[in-house]
Amino acid sequence: MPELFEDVIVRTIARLLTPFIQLFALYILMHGHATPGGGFQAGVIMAASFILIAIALGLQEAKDRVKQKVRLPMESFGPLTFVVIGIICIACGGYYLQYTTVPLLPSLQAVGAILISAVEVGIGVTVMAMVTTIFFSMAGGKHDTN
Amino acid sequence: MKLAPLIVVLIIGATLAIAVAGMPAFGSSDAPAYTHVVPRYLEKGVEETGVSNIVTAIVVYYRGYDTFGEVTVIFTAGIAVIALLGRE
Repeated sequence: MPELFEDVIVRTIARLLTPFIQLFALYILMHGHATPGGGFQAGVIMAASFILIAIALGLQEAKDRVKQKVRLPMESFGPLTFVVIGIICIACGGYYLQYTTVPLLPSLQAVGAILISAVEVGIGVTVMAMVTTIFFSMAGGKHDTN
Repeated sequence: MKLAPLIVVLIIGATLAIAVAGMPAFGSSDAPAYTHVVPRYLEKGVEETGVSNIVTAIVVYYRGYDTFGEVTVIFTAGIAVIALLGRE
């Protein structure tokens, strides 16, 4: 049992607030094509929720919620999404990242919106994993028992 | 105090100050940045990209290669932090 960093009010509020922050991040991510927002902003908001947990509930609690095993593969997800979708666009006869050439649906606008959202999700996942990893790396020293 | 560097700085500063007069007014809608390619984005953006947020359309569609580079920069920064500080 790690030592408690904050008193019960801070810990309770942080625990209650975290799901709503994460829901807001998902909203920002999935509405990036229609309203202000996008992958970068959503990734940072999602990372902020984990940083809030680390500050209020302790570093170990935050590390348990986003495990390193999950986080490290997520870091390369964004560039890989970009490359894969860009090469799909080339294979379908367009330029690199010319989304509307992919003949998935009859409506080219819908294809563009879907692929742009997919790229935004990739960006968000990468930014989230990177910001949390940088925070955890700087917060936890090597002499940590973890 | 050396005189030559001061003269060079004054000449460059005067040149820049004169050049400011030739710039478009602050916030002017006639500035080249707003008349060259932006009207086309605003007119054809929804039709070509399928997204109604013009900022996302420019960032991910028209300037997609640039955003790809930005994501690569973030990825590289994280890899550098992992390499320097150890895996937590």
